[in-house]
Amino acid sequence: MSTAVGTAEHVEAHHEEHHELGFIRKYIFSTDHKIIGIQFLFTGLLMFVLGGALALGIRWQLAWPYDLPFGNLFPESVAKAATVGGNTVYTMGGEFYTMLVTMHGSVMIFFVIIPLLTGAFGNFLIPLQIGARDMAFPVLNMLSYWLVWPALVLMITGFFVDGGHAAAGWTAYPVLSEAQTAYGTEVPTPGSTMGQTLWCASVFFLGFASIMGAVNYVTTIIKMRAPGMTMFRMPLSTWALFITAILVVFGTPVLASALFMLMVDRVLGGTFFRPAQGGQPLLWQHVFWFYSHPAVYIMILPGMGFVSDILSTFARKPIFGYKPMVYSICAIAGLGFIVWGHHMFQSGMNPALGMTFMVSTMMIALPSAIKTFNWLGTLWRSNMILTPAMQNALAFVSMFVIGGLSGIFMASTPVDIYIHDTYFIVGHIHYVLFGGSMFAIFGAIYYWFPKMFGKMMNSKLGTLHTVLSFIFFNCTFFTMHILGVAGHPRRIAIGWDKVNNIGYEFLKDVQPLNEFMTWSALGLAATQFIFAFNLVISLIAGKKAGNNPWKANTLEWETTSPAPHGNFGPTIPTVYRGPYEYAHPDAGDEDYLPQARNLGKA
Amino acid sequence: MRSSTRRIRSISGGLWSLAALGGGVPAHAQGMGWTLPENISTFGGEIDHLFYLISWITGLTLVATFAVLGYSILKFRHKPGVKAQHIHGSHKVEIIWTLVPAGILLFLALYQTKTWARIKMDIPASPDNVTVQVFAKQFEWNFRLPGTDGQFGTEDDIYTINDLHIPRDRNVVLEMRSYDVIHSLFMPHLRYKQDIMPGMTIRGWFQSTKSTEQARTERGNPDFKYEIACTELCGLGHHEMRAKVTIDSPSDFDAWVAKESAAAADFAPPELWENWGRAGGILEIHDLEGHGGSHDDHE
Repeated sequence: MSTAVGTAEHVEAHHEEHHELGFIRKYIFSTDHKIIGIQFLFTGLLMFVLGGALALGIRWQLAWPYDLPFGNLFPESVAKAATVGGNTVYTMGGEFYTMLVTMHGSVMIFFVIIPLLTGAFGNFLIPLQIGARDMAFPVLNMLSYWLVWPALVLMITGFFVDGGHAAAGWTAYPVLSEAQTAYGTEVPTPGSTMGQTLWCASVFFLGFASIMGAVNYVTTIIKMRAPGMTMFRMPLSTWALFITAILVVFGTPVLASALFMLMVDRVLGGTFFRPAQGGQPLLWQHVFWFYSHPAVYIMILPGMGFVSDILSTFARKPIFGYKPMVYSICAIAGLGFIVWGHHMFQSGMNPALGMTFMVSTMMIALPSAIKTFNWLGTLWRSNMILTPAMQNALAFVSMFVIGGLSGIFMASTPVDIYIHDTYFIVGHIHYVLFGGSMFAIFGAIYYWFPKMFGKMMNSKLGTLHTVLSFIFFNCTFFTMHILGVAGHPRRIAIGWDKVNNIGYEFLKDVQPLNEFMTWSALGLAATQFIFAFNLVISLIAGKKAGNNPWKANTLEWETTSPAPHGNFGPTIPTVYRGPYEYAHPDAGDEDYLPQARNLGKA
Repeated sequence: MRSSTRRIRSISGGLWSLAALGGGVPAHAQGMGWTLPENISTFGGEIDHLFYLISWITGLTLVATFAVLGYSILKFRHKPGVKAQHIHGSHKVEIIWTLVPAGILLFLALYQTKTWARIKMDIPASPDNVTVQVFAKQFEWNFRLPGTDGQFGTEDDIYTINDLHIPRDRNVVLEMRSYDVIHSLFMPHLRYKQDIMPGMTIRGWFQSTKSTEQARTERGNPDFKYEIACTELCGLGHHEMRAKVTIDSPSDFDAWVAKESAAAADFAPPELWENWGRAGGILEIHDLEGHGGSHDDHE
């Protein structure tokens, strides 16, 4: 306890020496976790626009493969002109399409979801919620953000190189991802010249940024909690970020090793994954998924934490089952390391492994189910206020249930024989990543915006954005399950082209769904402009926010909005109770009892 | 109208709508072809059974969860001056909702192991088995049958491109290799999928209960064909890697094999097949139009 205070005071004294910070040191190369968090937030949201645009490209092609509307507005590399029956039609080549699917996934996973959840909110919330003045390693923290930029530059450059960007899927399976202008031929496989190499290098850098951040989070949470802030009095946001950081520390280096091997193969003539030279493509899958499965828990656990905080605050009721919630987070993370093979059931790996991974995968549904029931328990007999943050948290719970339940189909190896690599999987992915993570991110933004910027967001616009997003989201992504059940494969540029009668005949009946989904996706994309507008207008002219606009209990609401440099003024708050003491009988007329409020009791 | 009446009506209206949806949608979906395609595989029934079982379990869980959620949102709205229930949890409830799902999940996992083993681990032995070699390549499916002598690599081998020609009612054993990158053989109606890994020969099997002829008659569509899709991204022509499965009655198949085997002596085997035994992963670069074809087509 005294160590924590001692360290905090040391950091404060250190900061006071730098009183006269210029604009650059204050807002650009800042070591203040709050600024770094906000930097991650804006970078992530910008990349969300890019990732979304790429998705719309995919939807555009799938809906109208025979003639892309407004195809004439795009360059030849995107939409090729052809004359069919006297008319000019525009079609997309497979090379551009496979790049779109690859980059949509890559951008969203590596540059949007992970940076927003861990980089933006991990950075912003942890010191505030545990009562620390900053992270344990502020300079390392600053570096972790600035490492994102080289990664970004590498990734964006890939779009402009000869041969186009990486086009082997975000999963980059060799041998396709190893394709070069090898074997004496002149014409490269798309993405195979510089694109794929840049992709590898970019993700490699990003991995380091992640690890740097994670090391900071773990150390800060273990060493720098305020007096009275025991581990089991930490908010679930902090717990989730803590466990996520441990996942990042253990998992990301494995991804780095996979990327390294792939780069050695591509650039140095290595043969890790080249069967003709004794390599094994399956090795990539094992190493890649050993990271990428925990990665999906990295992408959902923080969201689960935020949702717990938001639900409790606006239900005005304690979280139901706080300790089971903590244990479930730990169980999800732990089990997350022994299920990676479920991505490889049909891969050609020894099918006996299908049995073992099926059991572990089924079991990992359990802690998620427990969390869901505890959220429902929180809402039962609550006193609910439906702010936009709360609406998003409720959306998270409901959409995560669907995403999680659809996972049971995939966990079942025989059923997976049918649905693997179909749109059933794509539907599942988007229910957990958009319906889950993105709604959690929206909720977190609506909730913590006042603390970040000292202004309130417009609640009516927030509700409009949330409700419309929810509707369009379900229209777009629920339909994917239907497509998958019909057998529609992933990553194909044409399902059924009804004008030229090309494609898979067994997909004729579901092709109209492709069109429907594209319209819904356009609606979903358009709706995000409401959110962007709300963000900008609130930043400029939002109502001033007080310290605790939501009457919440956790430590970040003890200080001003926005929080000052050093977070808490001259004295760090002391913690007297858990984070969810809403509706407490000792609080008198109030329906909340902050963690730091001293009631004068023993 | 009193607010409680309004609330009851809105809830019941919602529930009725849900029920209508729950009943009506699947039926309508069937008519529109939005369900699992027709199953013609001997083990497909087990897969479909599991699919429907899981659909029921997850469907009921979904409805129950949403009912609680919806009810909570409607019923437990904020009333000023009122406090929510101050409860931190319930040990008993935690135990119940841990053990019950755990039991269901464990049951599901163990219940399916036999089916998985049957499809992916054991290949049934039978003198009637027909073995086909599958050589997947950017962007076409190449098949080879051993011909009347039953041996691969002899003069009477039958080669087809994009047409897996097999008999009904007999086990079809596949030996699958890739010429270049990872592909995946998917036959929706046969409920079969297997990724094809360069550098490995992967064996699999299935058996069809119906012939193409029968399917055409039943559907009243003389052009109907059972199809093959590639389900592992293999490059820019991935979406064009379509093929068909031609399923003959056993006697028709034997006749076809006899005929093709006899004619096979007059044709040189496609050059591609010289690479069958090689370690694989050779990447043949095609022009950016994505046209496939064996070596010969490049000249």
